[in-house]
Amino acid sequence: MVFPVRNGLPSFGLRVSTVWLGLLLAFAWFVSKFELDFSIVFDKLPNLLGWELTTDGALQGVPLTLLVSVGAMIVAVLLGLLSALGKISSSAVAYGLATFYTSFFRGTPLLVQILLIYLGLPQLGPVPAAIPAGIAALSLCYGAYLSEIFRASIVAVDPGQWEAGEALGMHRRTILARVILPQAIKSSIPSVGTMFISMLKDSSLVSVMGLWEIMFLAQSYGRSSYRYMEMLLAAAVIYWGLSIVLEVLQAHLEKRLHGHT
Amino acid sequence: MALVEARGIHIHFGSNHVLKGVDFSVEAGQVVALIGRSGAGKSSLLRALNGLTPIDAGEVVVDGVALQSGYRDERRLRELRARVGMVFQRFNLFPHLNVLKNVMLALRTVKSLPQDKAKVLAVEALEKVGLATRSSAFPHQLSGGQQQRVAIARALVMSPKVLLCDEITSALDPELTSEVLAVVRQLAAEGMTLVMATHEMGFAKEVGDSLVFMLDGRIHESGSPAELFARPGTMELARFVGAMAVA
Repeated sequence: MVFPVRNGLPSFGLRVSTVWLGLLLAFAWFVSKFELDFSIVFDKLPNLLGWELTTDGALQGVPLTLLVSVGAMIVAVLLGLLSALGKISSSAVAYGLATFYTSFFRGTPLLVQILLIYLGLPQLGPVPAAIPAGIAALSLCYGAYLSEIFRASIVAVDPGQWEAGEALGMHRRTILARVILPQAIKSSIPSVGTMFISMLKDSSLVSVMGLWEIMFLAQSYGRSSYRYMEMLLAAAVIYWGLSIVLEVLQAHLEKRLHGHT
Repeated sequence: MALVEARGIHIHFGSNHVLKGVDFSVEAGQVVALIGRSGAGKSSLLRALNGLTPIDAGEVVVDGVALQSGYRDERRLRELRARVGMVFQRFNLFPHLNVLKNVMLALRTVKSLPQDKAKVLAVEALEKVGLATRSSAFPHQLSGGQQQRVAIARALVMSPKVLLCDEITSALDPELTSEVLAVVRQLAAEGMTLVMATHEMGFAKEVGDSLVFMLDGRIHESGSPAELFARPGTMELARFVGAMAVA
């Protein structure tokens, strides 16, 4: 393999890889001082990765985390867009709904929201199934954050774009849908990607609803085997891997849209 | 009645009184050049004519569609704008759409034309500005002059009764200015009604049927360009024309 050399230095990519490798080795050295025994991790890996269903036939581990996160991401984007539109709306009702929603769900802990939905709703009658309840809680919370991101990107689109559409006789909602939103959504992708990575990890909070996602399994196996650190590290590596996949997807999406600045 | 009639137009931006009672009319087929210093009210007058800036007093009537002060009915505004095209100083093309789709968007969404018909009209409009071969390019791949020509095609394709040009060459390098002015010259020759705010005095004189000199939110002097440039009726116009000639 030939490494391109510029100014007498190896390529930028190679130098970055070296830094990454050094940091990973330092971390491995740090962890190696814990006198860990990873055999338990390998025993439980099929459960963590969710290759097997639970004894009740339910999803567990990675597939469950992915199902809850991806489901919540989709709903959160819709909620975020809707409430962002509410915030730029001239309707007092839409504005009031949108601002109350974002204020409440950004201003209270996610765990409280999850418990309100899981323990509060049954007081009214319906007992929510755990997975839809988890998706609902996560998407309500993240939709509130996304609404601010979307609102800011909508406002950041050049006002000349609105004027061009209006001067052509276009309906305001057509301008919004065909001119403003495509540009706003594109510029919001980096922030939305960050939110999704954050949500992936916050999805562990739905374990209080009895969902056996990655963190829940890691903690319970760790406790029962007295190999807590090993299981937590395994969970960390899995989350990190999933996050890297999301980062790559985000970079790919940005690149694909880059041609149409 | 004139194609475009503006009577007693006042516009305030907060405490800033930018139009102070402007009466203005344009006959069909006329080319009107608005001149004056920056801040004199040229842009505000143009933007009042298609309702982009709401007027605080007075009335605008274009081809029988009236826009009164304090009255902003969205449907009436769209009716007016169907008759009035506008080209902006900074082009304002849609950056996420290619050239063809920039020109087609309003045909599809305002006139609800089917894809194939809209495309035929859009290509026709692009041919007129000499850019049919760049249909699939995105705005950022074009020069400023080309972008402005696409913006002209985008306005023309809606077949407006009058085209407003708001300093459409001010953001362009001198060598790109001429290609845009050539398109405008051709439109004028074809009998398009034009109202253009401009700093191109030579061009105003060449294609303008009438010249309107604005000063401090009012129309200070107007008349035939040849007449006004040769014998300005007021000191202010004489000074302005003199300054522009030197610059």
